[in-house]
Amino acid sequence: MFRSTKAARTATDASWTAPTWQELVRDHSAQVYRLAYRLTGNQHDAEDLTQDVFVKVFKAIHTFQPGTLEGWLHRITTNLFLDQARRRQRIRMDALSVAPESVWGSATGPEELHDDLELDADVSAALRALSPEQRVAVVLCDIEGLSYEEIAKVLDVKLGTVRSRIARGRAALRDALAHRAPSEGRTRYAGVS
Amino acid sequence: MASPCCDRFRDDLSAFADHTLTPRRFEQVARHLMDCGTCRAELAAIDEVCTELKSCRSSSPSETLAARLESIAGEHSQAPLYMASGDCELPSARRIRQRRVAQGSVALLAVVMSAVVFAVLIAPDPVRIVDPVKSAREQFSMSSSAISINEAFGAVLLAFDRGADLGQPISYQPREAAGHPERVSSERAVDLLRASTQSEASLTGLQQVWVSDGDGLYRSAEVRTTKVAGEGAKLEVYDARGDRFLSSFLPAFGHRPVAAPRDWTFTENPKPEPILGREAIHLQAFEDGSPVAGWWFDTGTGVLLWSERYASTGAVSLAMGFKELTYGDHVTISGDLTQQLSLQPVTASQTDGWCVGLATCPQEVGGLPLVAYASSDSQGKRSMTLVYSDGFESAVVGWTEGVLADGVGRTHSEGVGLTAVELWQCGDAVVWVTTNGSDDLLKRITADLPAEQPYRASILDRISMGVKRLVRVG
Repeated sequence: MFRSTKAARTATDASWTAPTWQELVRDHSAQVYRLAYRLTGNQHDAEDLTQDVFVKVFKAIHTFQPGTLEGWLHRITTNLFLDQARRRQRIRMDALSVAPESVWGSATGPEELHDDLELDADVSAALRALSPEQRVAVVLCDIEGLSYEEIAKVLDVKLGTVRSRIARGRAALRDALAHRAPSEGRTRYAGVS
Repeated sequence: MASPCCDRFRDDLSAFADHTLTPRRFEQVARHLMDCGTCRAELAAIDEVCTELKSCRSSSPSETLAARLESIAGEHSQAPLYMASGDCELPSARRIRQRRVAQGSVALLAVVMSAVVFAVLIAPDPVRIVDPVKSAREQFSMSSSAISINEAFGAVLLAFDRGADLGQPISYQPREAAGHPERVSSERAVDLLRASTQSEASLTGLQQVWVSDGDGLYRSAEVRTTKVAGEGAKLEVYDARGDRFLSSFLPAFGHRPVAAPRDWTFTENPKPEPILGREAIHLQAFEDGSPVAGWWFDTGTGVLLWSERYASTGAVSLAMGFKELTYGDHVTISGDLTQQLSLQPVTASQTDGWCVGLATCPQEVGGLPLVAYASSDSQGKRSMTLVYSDGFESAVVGWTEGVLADGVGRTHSEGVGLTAVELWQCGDAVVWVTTNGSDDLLKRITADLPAEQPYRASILDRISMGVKRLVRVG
């Protein structure tokens, strides 16, 4: 029932066969989870986000246009993350509460974070302090290793926007991590020693 | 401490670390880094952050996640998916928006250009005024019939202008002066003329008009006149065959200024002269000793029974007289009536928009006061007619939108009926003057009016005219 004449028509490669859902999950869930984890900063939220991504993929698979499946998954993941982050931010603003530095995972206490994270706790906290847009840009660039052009395509923004988000995100991270004392193999994060 | 010039490079250090700057900018930043320890330290810090981030490890998902994800498809998780294959770029709403804006701009530009070209193509050509002298004379005839102390003159001139067959030229015997005329003041002359124009008498009669052909003979026509005090006059012009050629109605125009020209002198015959069994006062006007005009007024009613105008040679150039006349309050005007020209009395002027075309419509030209005007403001055919008269001499000044036909420049024309015409192009319109006065008067009037100016329509004017036409059609 998932196959149709349209799918057959659009298939440019005769030898190509459409994967099953099971295969899609097997091949791509780890990649989606990894990005979700680096964006949200904890396993629980990352799994929820991953599930939301695959629900959306399943619903929208018929609209998928021939292209990079990885890129498409990146886009859905980042879009869902940004949507949810903005929604949470709005709710907090509406409640007139003091906006916490983090807009994601703030319900999670520090102890829980410590147990939960394999990310360096300082780095994780510094990442969570960034705006969602900067966090997405920095994570895609520095952790996922995407080029600026690939990030611009995933986020559907201009190259200059990517460049400035990464620059500002990194500057904020450098300031946030400045307290860390230099250690072996590591210099100070800011200033001249 | 960071120097001010560091600010120009700080924002680019991150992109420099990733080698994503343009080669030129990369070189500039590299050169700055060689000299600036602060920025070098900042770059090192950025590198450190990047290294730190790259070294982050990821956690593994819980064992149940894969099962949760597979369960999304339910029983279809083993079935091939409905999806297309291939490899191309991700769709970009931003690029689609940009493309639509670009396409929209091109389409808009094309529409605007087409509209401009279309506007230029459909821009109306200015009205070509083919026989301006004839039109000017006709206008003068209509105007003078409407304001003249004797409407029959104007009616016959108009019929003549419009091609009425006035038959073979005939002779005219000027009225002979009887008795010994005595010099009278201008005031007396003005009183007589004013009494004639303001006469309360209703009458019906047949007038004959003679118009000199310049060779000693006269074109003649009869005019059946029915005049009802306070209402107006019905004039019917008959041609040589006795057929009614023109029938028109002239509403009562009200009071008009009457003032004798300064250099005219007057004589009056103290002894009444008989006309149609009535007694008439004979008034004669002279200019430089030569007779200019003669009038015969009914002593009882003040009605002008006969009049003559003389050329500089002393010969009669225009004459008019009643051949039949009946007074009576029972006179009524009926039948098929046409108003040839609707003139507004000068009292209606000075309201907003009364003056069309001309920058200013003078209240006086060549010493003649404005007595009436008519205007048309319809697009592309705007016109203004200004009638000046002191009761003795008249001039009609016109402004008509359009251009003189090819080869027609400034024109001066004198013809039958004592009317001289002068006309010239003034921008997008033609200005004309017609008068029954002297050449000198014509020159003075001309000097009071806008000077000659060639017609020039720029491409912008054409676009503007075309757009106006489009808007009107819309």
